[in-house]
Amino acid sequence: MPFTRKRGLSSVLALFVISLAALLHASQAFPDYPVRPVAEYRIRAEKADITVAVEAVEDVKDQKTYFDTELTSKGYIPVFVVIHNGSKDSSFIFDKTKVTYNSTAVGNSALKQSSKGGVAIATVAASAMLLSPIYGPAIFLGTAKLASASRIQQNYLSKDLKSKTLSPGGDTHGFMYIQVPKSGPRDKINLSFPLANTGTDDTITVELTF
Amino acid sequence: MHDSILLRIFSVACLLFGLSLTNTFSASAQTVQSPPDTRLAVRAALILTPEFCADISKQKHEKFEVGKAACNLLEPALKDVFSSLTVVPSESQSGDAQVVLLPRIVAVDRTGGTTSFSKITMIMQLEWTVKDTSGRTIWLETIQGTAVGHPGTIGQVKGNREKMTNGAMEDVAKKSASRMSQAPELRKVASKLAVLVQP
Repeated sequence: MPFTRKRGLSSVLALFVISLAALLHASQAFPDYPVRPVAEYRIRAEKADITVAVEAVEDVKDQKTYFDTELTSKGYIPVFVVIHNGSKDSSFIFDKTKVTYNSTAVGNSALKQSSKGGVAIATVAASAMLLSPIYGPAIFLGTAKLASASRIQQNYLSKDLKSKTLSPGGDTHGFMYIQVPKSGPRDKINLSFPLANTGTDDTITVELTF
Repeated sequence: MHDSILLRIFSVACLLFGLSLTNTFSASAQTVQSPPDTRLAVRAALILTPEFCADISKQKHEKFEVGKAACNLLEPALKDVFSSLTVVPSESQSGDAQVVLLPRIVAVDRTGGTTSFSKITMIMQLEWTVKDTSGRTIWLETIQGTAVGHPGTIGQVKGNREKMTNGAMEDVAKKSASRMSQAPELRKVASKLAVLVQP
C-alpha cells in the first residue's frame, strides 16, 4: 500500500513538473527582429519623401530564431519591411492591403520585357500572392508542435507589417510573408508600396525588386 | 519518510504555483500613454454597425464575442478624446459629425492552454479608419491589444473567455484613445476646423 501511495505521489509531482515546464516554455518570448535606420538597408528605394527598405530573411537559422519555424521549406520567406516618411509636413497612409506583388524571373529566356521603371521585369507567377498573416501562419505551421503552434501564430501576428499613418518623420516596420519555391533558387520578387498623401490625395508608389 | 519529503515538496510547489496565478487576468503590460490632456475640437461619429457589434470570432471550438466587447468598450474609452462623440449604426447617419471613426477587427488569436492553469494570451488587432466629411481617409492605424489569463476549470471556462475578450478589447480601446489624441493628422484637422469657426 505505501508503495502505491508513493508511486501516486511521484506521478502527481512528475505531472506538476511537466505542466510547469510547459508553462515556462509557453511564456518564452520570441526575440524582436532588429530594426535599423532605413538608410542602412542594402535593398531600398526612395521616391519623393518616402523610403522603403526590405530584407528577406532567407537564412533558416534566422527563421528558427525569429519564428521558431523553417519557413523556406514550407514555401515562404519572411521579408522585413521598413518604411520611412522623410517629409517635414506631409503625412502618408500606408494600407498594407494595397501592396502588390509579382514574382519576376530576370535573365530567364522566357522573359517578357517591360518598360516599368526601365527595369526588365517579367511576371511569371500571376497566381502568387501576398499572404495575409491571419491565414498564412496556419499554412506554415503544418505539422508543427501543437502545444506551441498558437504561440507561433501570435508571433506572426505581432511581427506582421500593419496598416498605419506615417506622420512627418515617422516610420513603420514589420514582416510580409511571400510565397517562394520550396527548394531551388527563387525568382526575383517585385513589391509595390503605394502610399497616399493625407493632404493632397496624391499617391506615391515605391517599387523594389530583390 | 520518503513520502513526507515528497509531500512537502509538492505542497511548496503548489503554493508557489498558486501564487503565480494570483494575477489571473491582466491586460497588456505595454506602455500606454496617459489619457489625453486636451480634447480634439472635432465632432466625431463612431460607426458601430449591427454587424460589427455581432461579430463573433471562432477559434478551434471556442467563440469570442469580440463585436459585443468592442461595442461596449470603445465609446467609453474614446468619449474624452473628441469634443463630442456620437455613436451611430451607419456612416450615412453621422449627421453633423466632422469626422467618422470606422473600426474593423482584423485579427483575433488566443494561445491554447493545456491545463486549467496554463497561461493563455489573447491578441486582438483592430484597424481604425478615420474619414473627413468629404469621405477622404485622414488617418489609418492598426492597434493591437493583449490580455493574459488562464482557461480555468470547467465551470469557469465561459466566464474566463469573456474576461479575456473584454481584457484584450479594453487594451485596444485605451491604446486607440491614446493614439488618436496624439495623432498629428487629427490635431491638424481640429486646428483647421477651429480656424474656420473663428469670426
